[in-house]
Amino acid sequence: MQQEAVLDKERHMAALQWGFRLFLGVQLIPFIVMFTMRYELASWYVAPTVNQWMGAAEAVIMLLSLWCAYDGLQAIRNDDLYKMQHRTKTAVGFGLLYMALVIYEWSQRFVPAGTRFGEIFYTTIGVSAFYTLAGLFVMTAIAIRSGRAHFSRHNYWDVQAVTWYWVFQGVVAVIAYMYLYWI
Amino acid sequence: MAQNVVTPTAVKKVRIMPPMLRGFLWAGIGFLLLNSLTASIRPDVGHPFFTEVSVTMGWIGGVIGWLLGVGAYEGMILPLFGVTPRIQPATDWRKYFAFATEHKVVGMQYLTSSGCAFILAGAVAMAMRIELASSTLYFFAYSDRYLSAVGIHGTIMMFAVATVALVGGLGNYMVPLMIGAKTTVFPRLSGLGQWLIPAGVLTVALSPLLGYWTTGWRGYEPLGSQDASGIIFYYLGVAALTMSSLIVSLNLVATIVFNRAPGVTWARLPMYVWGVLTVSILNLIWLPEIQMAFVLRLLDRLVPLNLYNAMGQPLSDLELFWLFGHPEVYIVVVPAFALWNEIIPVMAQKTLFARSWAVIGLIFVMMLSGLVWAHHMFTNMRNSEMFPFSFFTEMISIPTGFAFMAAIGTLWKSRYRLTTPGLLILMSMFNFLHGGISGVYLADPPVNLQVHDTMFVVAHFHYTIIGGMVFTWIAAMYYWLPKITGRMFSEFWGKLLSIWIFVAFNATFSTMFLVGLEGMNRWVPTYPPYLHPLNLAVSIGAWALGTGFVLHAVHIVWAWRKGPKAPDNPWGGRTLEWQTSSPPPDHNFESEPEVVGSFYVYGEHAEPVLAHPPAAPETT
Repeated sequence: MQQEAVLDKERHMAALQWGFRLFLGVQLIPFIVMFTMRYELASWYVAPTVNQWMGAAEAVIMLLSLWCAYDGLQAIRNDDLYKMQHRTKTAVGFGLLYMALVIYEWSQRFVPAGTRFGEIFYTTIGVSAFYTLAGLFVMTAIAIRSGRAHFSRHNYWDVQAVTWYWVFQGVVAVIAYMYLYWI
Repeated sequence: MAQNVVTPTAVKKVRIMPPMLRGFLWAGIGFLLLNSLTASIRPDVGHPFFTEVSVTMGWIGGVIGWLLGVGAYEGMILPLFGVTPRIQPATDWRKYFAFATEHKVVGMQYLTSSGCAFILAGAVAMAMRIELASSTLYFFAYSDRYLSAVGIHGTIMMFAVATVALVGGLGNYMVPLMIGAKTTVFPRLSGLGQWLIPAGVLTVALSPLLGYWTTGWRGYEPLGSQDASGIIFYYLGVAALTMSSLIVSLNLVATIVFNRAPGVTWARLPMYVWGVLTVSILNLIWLPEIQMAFVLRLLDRLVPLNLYNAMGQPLSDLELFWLFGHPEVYIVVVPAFALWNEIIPVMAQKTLFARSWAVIGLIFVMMLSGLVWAHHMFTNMRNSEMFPFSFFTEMISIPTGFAFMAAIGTLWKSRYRLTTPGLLILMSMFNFLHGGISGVYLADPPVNLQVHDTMFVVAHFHYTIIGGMVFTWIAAMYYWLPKITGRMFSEFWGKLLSIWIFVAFNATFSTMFLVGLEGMNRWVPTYPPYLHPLNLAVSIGAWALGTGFVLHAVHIVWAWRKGPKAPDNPWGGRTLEWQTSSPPPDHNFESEPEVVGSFYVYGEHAEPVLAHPPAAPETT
């Protein structure tokens, strides 16, 4: 009976993980639409006024945030709750810094908004930032929740799901950076 | 999310206002809060107080408030932050009017939501037919109001009824039962998704408050961006409705893949479950696509951008819409194909003919559905570009034919029981055959270009959607009514009303084919007087059809409340939902079923379905 319960739990966890991966997979589709529209509307053009330093700084900060989130996940897999909490909060901090830079960049209008490239630039980054905001919300929730829930190496699905989501949105943000600033 | 054990805090019984009422209150607060915030941050667009940007932000606040108010606050948000909610979910009838996680409750909620949406959008259709009963404008004051009615009817019917009833409604209720599962994989998400339906329907229905819009359910640009502000609520309403269907599909796919009972192999999977699975895969691919397309439309309107005007590419919008738009048709009818072959073997008590081919047909319809979309745009294309889409549109009739082949092969020389669900299934097949054959005509560019934007096209897709999906939905409701409610309906009234809607439906839409061929355009409330007699006949048929649908709803509700007690397995079905009591217990089965036999083999080759069958269920 106890073995059945363990198997049930394992199967349930596998279902959660598979379903969440499927969710992340289908969330690539909106970005495929956006990247397609980028070429339909602006082809390979990159505006010369785009601030390359700012874009690179945002991408690096996002990558640092992803590393922190991933390290947090590894920490809880090693039963290190304190490190997990610390890394999650650091990831949130980098995420907030990323958002602040995006807002600053938007406010300075380095790219003229009324052009074809400008429209797709602001739209793509805006959609990506929406996913980042959602990620910040759940990452913050997990950082708060980790003080109350009994996360351990046997029980860390919430941390895992949030980390996967954060990595997903971060990778998408970095790809968007390459599409909009490099190509 | 929030699956972990949380340090319990003291639970005290707290009384709150009814969740739906609280939802409306919090929605109002959320709307005003974000609307006011937007107006204060952007004073240049904040005068007057309600602007397109502010109501968009307000709507987001309103929907969040609504979801939290109906119970997501206690059911999702508090546990996410590690707080034990002080309010326990209701266990009596009130559970149907609040955020719930039990798949049968969620299924009933979805059925109720899409049923109400069907009545609402149907009433709008009745108003349209009142207008079209005369060749001059007399019921609607201006043509844009008529066109808004067309858009509201189409949008709610497609996104809140046709896409929802057989997947969110019956799918949520029946799929876990049919695969021997106790629950679904993402019950909280599923519970949340249901409450997006009322939000979306109300948003679309109330859109004329912001101004009449004229694009119909397609929302074509640049027409949409030139419309009054009501088009904004159309975009937002569709966002809520598609998000709901996306959640349902994610949940059901994961459930079908992981929560099948021992012995429910892919080869044994029930037909209806195959139907829901294939449709859910289509939903998972195309709903995010159309959501992004609608976000682009919304931004194009609000910012505003030049994506789809003369400086942009209007054709891109049409392409993005129909990439989703035609798979949507199969999203609607594939569960119906599956249900034909779910119900016919039971009513015939005969082994399902060519079951594997019926499943292959569903899968190929799913795969080909993404290759036919541009036949909606033949008027925008070169001849050479039409060919592949014409070809694939005609080819998709082949796997569709597999569903007919399996059904007819099963019916062949059987002693088919002409019960109400059995009768409705045959009617549905008859209707869809006409919709399908007229679809093959429309796939041919010469015919397509000739009848483009006429009522011929409207008749065609109503034959597929109402004739194929709605008739099957009603059949499935009668088929599973004893399972869901434990009560039986009146066969006399069921058959009489089925014949009523069958006659009214065919009188309406076969005449609509004719009026289309005579030159009656879509999207117009007035027409030349020579078309009046046929249009009047269509209107009379439509009113009779609408009345018939309402009477079916009354009959089903009556049977639920007052019908005679039903046995556990009144039809002699072999699928798993019939191997448990009616209505099913909380966790569906007293013990986990182990399947050892096929669900669709009847007669002398029939073996027991379960390794350890429960005491023989009652049959008629």
